[in-house]
Amino acid sequence: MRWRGDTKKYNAVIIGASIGGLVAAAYLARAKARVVLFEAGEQFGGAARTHAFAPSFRGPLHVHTAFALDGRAVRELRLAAHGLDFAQTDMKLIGLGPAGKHVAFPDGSLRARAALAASWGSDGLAYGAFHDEATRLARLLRPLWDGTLADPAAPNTAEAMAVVIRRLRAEDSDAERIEELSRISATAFLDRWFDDGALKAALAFDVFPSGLSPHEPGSALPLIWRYAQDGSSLPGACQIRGGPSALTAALVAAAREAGAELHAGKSVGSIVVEKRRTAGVILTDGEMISADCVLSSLDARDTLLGLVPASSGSFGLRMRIPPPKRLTCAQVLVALSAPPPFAGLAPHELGARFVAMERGEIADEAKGVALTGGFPGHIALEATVPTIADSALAPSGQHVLSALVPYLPAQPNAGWARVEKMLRRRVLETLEDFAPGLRDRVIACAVITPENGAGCRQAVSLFASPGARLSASYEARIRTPITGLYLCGRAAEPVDAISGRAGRVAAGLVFMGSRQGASA
Amino acid sequence: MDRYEAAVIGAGPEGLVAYIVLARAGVRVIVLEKSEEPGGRATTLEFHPGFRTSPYADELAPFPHRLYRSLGLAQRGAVLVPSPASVLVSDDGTSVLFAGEDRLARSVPAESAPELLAFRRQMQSARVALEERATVVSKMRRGWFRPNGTKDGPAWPSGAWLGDSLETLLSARMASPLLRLHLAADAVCGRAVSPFLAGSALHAVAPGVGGSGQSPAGLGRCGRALTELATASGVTIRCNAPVTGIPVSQGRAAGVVLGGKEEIGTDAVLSALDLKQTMLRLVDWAELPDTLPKRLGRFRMAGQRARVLFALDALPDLPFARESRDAAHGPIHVASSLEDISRTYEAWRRGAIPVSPLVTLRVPSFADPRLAPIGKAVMTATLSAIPARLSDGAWTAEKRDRLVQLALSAAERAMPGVSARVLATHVLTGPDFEAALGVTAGDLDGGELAPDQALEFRPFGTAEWQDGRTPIQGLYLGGPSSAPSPFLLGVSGERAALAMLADFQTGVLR
Repeated sequence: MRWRGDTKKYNAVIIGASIGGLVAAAYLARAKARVVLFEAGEQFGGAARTHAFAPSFRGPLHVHTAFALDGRAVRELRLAAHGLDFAQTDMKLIGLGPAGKHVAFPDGSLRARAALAASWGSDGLAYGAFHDEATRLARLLRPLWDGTLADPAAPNTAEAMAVVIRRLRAEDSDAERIEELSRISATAFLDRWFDDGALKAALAFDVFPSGLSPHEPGSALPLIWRYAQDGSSLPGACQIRGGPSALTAALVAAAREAGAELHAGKSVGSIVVEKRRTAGVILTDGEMISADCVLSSLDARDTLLGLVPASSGSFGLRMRIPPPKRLTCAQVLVALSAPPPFAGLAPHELGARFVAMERGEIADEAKGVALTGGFPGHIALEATVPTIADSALAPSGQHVLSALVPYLPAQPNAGWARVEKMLRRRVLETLEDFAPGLRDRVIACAVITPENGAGCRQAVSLFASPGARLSASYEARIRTPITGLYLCGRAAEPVDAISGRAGRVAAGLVFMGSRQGASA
Repeated sequence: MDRYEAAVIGAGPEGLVAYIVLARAGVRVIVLEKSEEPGGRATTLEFHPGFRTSPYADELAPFPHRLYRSLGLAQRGAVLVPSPASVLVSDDGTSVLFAGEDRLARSVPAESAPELLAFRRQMQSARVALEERATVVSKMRRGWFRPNGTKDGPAWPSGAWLGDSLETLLSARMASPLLRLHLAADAVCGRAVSPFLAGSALHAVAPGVGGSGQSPAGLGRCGRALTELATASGVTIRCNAPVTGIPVSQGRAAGVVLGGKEEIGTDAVLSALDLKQTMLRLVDWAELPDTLPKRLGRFRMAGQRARVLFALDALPDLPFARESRDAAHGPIHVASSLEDISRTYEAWRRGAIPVSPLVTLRVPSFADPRLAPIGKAVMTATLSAIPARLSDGAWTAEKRDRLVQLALSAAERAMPGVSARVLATHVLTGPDFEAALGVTAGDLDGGELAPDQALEFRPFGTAEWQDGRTPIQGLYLGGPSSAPSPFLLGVSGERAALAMLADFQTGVLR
């Protein structure tokens, strides 16, 4: 394959070394494109890195479970050969309950399912049927979510879904189910199998990356999206050995080996647009880099409003870009002197991911309060103990607990300094309910918010509503109104999760575009 | 006396329409109404000596033009006058939006006019599409499903308002925050909804205010016209006849039971009550398919508004209506911000009386001075997102008074000096709606309006109940819980009646 253009010009410039940006760089370099990547920070990896938050304690930032990581990119870029290793795969989901009455969701094995039935009665029995149906629907929709279904989607959910149904050539009964998924709430979907509120809440928690809450119409779709991730080539939710930085390092090594130029500490000031087509970028130090294509790891707002000069984007573009998100996630990293004393759990079970949300309404209430800038009265959280499978993250015998808290206000009325304090207290209180005595083991505690860790902020995609974003094709999320400018970060994913898939698909689009250009 | 072929439960607008359709087709029908007079929510109430107004709503949901004409409502004196304008009073100023396009374009800032007109037209075409789809009655029996609009006639309108939040919908189309708030208030008034949550855009097409119009002399005139039309078609309406059960034998509805004793045997029963009243209260659960009662229980119904009726000793002074009298004839919203509406919704969910609900005022006396004694006036206030059941116990006189205060403080912002003119007040909350109209939990919309229980997903979740057919043969649901309620009035009754006629013809029912 020959890339057109003179050899002094780059084929593609990538802004920001997010996972998606690095994946795109590696794929393009493998296809013999001249590609250069500029990262403003000193480290590669964007939001996903391993954070030394206390002396000799390190914790994973943002990706404490890599559930959405693109299995195909991992395989095709041979990341294992470049040092990517999983400390554990197929992490179990445990819904925390009071007084040790947790619900541990089984893997596929019949024995584990029987065990759930023994302790949860009819709900436990129904789990098998639920899991099979969710997996079946996920398999139906997988072409949409793994980037193989290329169809510039219609601008709204309902029409996009009709396109998807047509393209997937689904049976009538399946078409009905899929159409229904984009309308009903996760709770309503789960209601068909389960009665117990705690069990449903634990399963429904996983809709949070979409920004929807479990009772909101349309939240059944992100739930199925999550099941589609479990079925991709990665074996379920995985924990990366060494934390997200190890993933970054493997990607950097793969990209460099393929011939990509990666620069840290150099930031892009603006994107050059000529006749609604990208011509390159200008770095903040004034250097002009010419390139045919620009791929941006930033979200739609930061890219199209922040980097594209206003003069070249006046064609009604500004109006069409969705407003900033009102919600954000935050993370609390806790250094512990001993394993967390979760009531009723054996030490070997601590490697699971724990969901602390006893009622689905907690998420709905939190979201409602956070939308107007308030701090919710109850929080829902997901916690992992990465040191169980990866002891190198903490001194011997000591542990790290990572808690992810969704549904927080992006601009709290009380200011982040106060919210940080409240959050630390509330997270420890919530965990204390399920692990009495945890507080006495705390050595250090760090709160990661949008103020001190930019990656918490929800990415603004080109689609304003979560439903439209989920049912659009990758191509529709990646392409921007400016020819040659692509999004490859989280904003181009169906939900706000770190996956790298957008980088892979964007690289494919650049490649196809260049071939068409060459033949024309 | 001949045996009745069909019974209609409830003599509200939907039931009366169903009854007229059946009677005109020659079916021997009996209408059973629990209260003393037919009309349902289309009633005029004398709430204070000499002061009358429509107690449950100022406007009915829109009648499709076709239905309005074919019924001949206008000839019977049921003239419905659409609101010529709607007004928003907020901290940032007052905005008046006229119904007519010409006046609208002239009355808003020039830069907002094009996008406002474009938005109006979009909503208009959505409503037209809705009306078109609502007239199609599927010929097939229960259990049919086609993905929206692929084979089976026109589609239900779909689009941004099925999945988006109202805020997303509006901010993509409207630059002015004041107009956004105004259109949001128009959409959600009278209902509990957060404009930030997914699916709330649906409210923009639902008739928050833009219904059929106000009836001079109150909605009672409209109810009476329907009743007259019904009786003129030939059969009597039995009032004071509360239906207490629908006996089912061998999976078929066999008639209705009145007051627990008298049984009227019919071939078919059409219920114009809501889903839960019909299926959970009137039908023996043992006759329903296994999982159905549980699913029915999850259909979300909750009271979402309260009404305060005011008797005033003089017409209030509306500063914004001095130039154009028309501004006084429509709804007057008093709201602060979208965030406030969202907070109100959160309070509603908790079962608490919100601190600053969206209040929609109307002064029906401007349209018809005869509603009050000479020189005096009536005013109504609709408070959005007021729970029917409070978490801290029953509605006491003191809590009702709080509603009056909330309504008055809002009214004071829109029409200064009005509080001094109040002669009497009458408060209606969820339990009052429930007692008077028999609506579950005081929900006047027949179920929460959300994408998963609206349009083809009405009554609940699946398409199998369209056209009012239920799992029980011979029992039809044509009330506020069936599609296309609450978007259009009379159509769910009509559709259920047509479905029943079709089944009579094909012999399913005889």
